[in-house]
Amino acid sequence: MKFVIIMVKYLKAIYLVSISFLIISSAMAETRPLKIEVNKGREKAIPIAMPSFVTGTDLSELAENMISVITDDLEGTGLFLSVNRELHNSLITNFDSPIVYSNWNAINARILLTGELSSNGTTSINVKFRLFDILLKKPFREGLKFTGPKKGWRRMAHKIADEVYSRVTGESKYFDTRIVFVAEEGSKKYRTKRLVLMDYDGANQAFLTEKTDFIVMGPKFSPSGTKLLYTSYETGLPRISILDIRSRKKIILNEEPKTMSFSPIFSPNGQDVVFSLTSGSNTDLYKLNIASGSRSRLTSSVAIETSPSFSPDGNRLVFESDRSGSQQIYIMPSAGGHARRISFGSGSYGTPVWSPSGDLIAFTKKVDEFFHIGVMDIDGSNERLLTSSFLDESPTWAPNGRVLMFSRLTPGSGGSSTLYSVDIDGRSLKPIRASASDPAWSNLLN
Amino acid sequence: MKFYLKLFFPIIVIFLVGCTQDLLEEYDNKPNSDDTLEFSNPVYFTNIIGAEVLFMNNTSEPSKGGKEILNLQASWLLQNHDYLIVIEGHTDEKGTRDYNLSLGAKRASAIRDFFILNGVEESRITIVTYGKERPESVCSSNECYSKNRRTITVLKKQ
Repeated sequence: MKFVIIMVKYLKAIYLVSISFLIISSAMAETRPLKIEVNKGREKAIPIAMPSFVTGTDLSELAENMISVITDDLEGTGLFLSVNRELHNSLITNFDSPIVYSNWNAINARILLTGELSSNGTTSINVKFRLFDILLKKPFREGLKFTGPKKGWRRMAHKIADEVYSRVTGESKYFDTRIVFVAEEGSKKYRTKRLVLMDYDGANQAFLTEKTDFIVMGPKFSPSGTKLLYTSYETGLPRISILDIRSRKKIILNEEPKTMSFSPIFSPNGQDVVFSLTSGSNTDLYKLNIASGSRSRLTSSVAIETSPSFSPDGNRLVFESDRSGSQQIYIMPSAGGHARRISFGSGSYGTPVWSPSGDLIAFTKKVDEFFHIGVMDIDGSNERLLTSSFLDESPTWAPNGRVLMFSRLTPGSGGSSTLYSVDIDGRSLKPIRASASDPAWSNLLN
Repeated sequence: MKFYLKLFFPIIVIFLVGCTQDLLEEYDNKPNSDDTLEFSNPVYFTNIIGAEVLFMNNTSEPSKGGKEILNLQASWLLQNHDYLIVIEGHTDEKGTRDYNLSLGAKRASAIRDFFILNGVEESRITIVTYGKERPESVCSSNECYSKNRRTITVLKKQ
């Protein structure tokens, strides 16, 4: 089978990685693409064979490391299962040689991923890959080529895994993303907290704030992923702060005397911040324009109003309020106005977060002394609880809306907080990072 | 109002100190006895009266014992004008972070309002919420939680 290169497309340099990709088209059109129905349950993960990439001896270890990252990404979804290499009865020694489908079909592989890794100068590498549908005996759409710095190999592996995941499931990508969270040290009584940035899978962790005795909490990414909002006690009172990730320059917003501010989020256009402000005994939601500093009040109830989250189009806000006597979830226009309650189940509801596709709200629910992460439609219907523990809270959406990450605290004096992720069908619950809380998921990196 | 407070203050103190027998017994076990402490000594405030006021679950309503301590704190502050105060609001760990920050602020604010209503100058008072970030007791039981639902009145010499 021959493939013809039809297009070359370079991706913008982001962070330290500069990656370009080349689309290789197949001579044979795909007529019935393989699709995993993500919503319809998964009785069996789809077997994917990932033989060694074609490469020289100098890059063979790096190639295996990339395959390991791809395997972790795909198997971590619960949708894929890597076919044991010991079962492989066919080697890929030439990236362009025809595939012997029968050999891969004999070991029950459903998908085959082949690749080629080569040097591009001393510090840069090229990686090409193709995906094959073994039963249909066809390439799975076009192949791709990435070029980037060798030290950016993990991102290149995530991009390959993203392509496999999105092509097979039809869902959007989410592996090439980052998480910001609060790293916790010490006992519950004397805990220090620092902001940390990491890849979505826990790799490449970097501290963003120094180890100090003031508290930081609740970081949130700007839409472009270059800035963070968070709450800091640097001045002695909780204040919202904005941090430029690259320069580490920070600015404290809203230093009005006799007030406290927390729970900030960016608007989808990145120009405004909505946050909670406590003045007197009242906590309400306010909107602050970052450029002009102008501020408007969005709620005026004599209740606690906090944890705002924008709809993806920026027109509405979902937030929690105890105006009814207990914590419940409400939706209102993003400029303020009539708020409509959407949570009516037993127990209390908090920390609502609008899904990237706009159709779901993730939340924390407390009922009978247990905490749950759940999702509901934006009218409050179809509530589904995904987790249950002593204390789960702070859900954040993966940019494809299929996975949530959250904090789980264990009880007692030796208890600690751990980041977990879970699919929105409640499956694939797994720990991501110990001694951590308040995760926030970035958009897909460019 | 201030005149009557001064007139009846010794009687109120004797009565309320009698009500806080546990606090006194705890203090008696320490090296300094209350005989040697001046009323105006800040240690009297923190050790004899008590800096903490406890609250009912998920409310900004002080517990019954908390109200007694609060009255004593207000009386002490009215007699000792040299001190500024920071009121810290705290919650137990069984709640979401943002909500607990708001609840801690509401508790601290309730104490501030009480002090102002009883004659303490507003300019002397600052409030701060810590939510569930700084628990006093760290076991996970209702007994511990009740100790963490609190405000702390911290004295600062002007």
